[in-house]
Amino acid sequence: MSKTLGKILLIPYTFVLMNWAPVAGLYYFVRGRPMGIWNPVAVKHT
Amino acid sequence: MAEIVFWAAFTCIAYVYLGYPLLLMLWRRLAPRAVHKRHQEPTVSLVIAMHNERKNVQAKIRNCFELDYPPDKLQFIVSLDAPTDGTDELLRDYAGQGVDIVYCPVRRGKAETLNSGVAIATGEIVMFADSEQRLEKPAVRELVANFADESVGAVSGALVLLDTQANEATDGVGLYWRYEKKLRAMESDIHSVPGATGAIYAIRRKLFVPLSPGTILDDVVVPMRIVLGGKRAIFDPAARAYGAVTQSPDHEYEKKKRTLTGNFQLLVEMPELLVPWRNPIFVQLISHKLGRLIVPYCLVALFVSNLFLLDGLYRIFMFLQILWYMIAGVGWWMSHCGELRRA
Repeated sequence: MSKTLGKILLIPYTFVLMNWAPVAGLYYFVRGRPMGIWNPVAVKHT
Repeated sequence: MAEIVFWAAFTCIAYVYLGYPLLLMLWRRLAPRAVHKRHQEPTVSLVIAMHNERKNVQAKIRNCFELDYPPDKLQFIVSLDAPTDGTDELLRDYAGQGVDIVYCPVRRGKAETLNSGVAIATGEIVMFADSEQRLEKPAVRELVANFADESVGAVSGALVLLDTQANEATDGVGLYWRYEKKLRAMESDIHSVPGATGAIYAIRRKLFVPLSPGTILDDVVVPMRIVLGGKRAIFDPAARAYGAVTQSPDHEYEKKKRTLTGNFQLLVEMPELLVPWRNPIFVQLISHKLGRLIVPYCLVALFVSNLFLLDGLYRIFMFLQILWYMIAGVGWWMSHCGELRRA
């Protein structure tokens, strides 16, 4: 029961977080910082 | 003015999350485009790009050897991007067992690593996979069966996220991913998906165009080029790869951030995607990919405009929004408490 409630309570948080990601994505794109260890350009920054 | 902003933002959010799926359901019913899938055995090259994958490499190779496909028709290629954790040493044992290894001592990024892998591919079909996820035994067979249909240029499989009990995840992230897969299945039924799953997808080798250095989303760029070239990029949920669901929404957020940075890069590097008469899946791209980029600003506009509209129906909207964000706050707290406990 409490597990199900926990899952339900996580839905709005996941929704907000997933919708914040495009804003962060735009920020990184505009700053010219491609994401992820796979990209050598990103490696130089980290 | 506040009312116009409120309803414009509301319409946009409602369209992206509800209207678009409903449109797809209707579209699929009115104009379905079936894929004539037929089991066949063309030659396949399975390309896996790796950087530092010491902990996954052996399990991945074993998984590849277990695939249900004639060994003489399946070429394994591991393309290494200057690993520093000994991934290359672990792979050396497999070099004599039918695994072709491409080694580059200088870091170049995933896109160029994939280019090198495909450069030595000999199969009629090139399949891509990631090192972390496990491919289901019939995955190759299911994917390639779709290429019996000449209109198909790319096929994406389904990534199934499993929880700690090895069941398909149904929590926040799992639920989000299941919603995504439903959308992709419907998009595939009417024409093409605007992007494949990096963990499992395949294309006709002759359609591969080398990726530009620094490409973030190879699994979107490759199928979208194929769609622009006049072929279909479909989704087949019968070809599956299994992965572990991320421990919390925050982990998924990091992945999502990278994906969405890639979406901005995609639109800049392939502007023809935004030309309706050039892109056969213009509506899907705008609704699925672009819509997601716009929704956060609509959410802010919805909340701010609602602050100026607090009568009648708008009061209920305000209450619901505050409630939603309060529950999200509780979710944030739960998620971080869980992490602290694990730590």
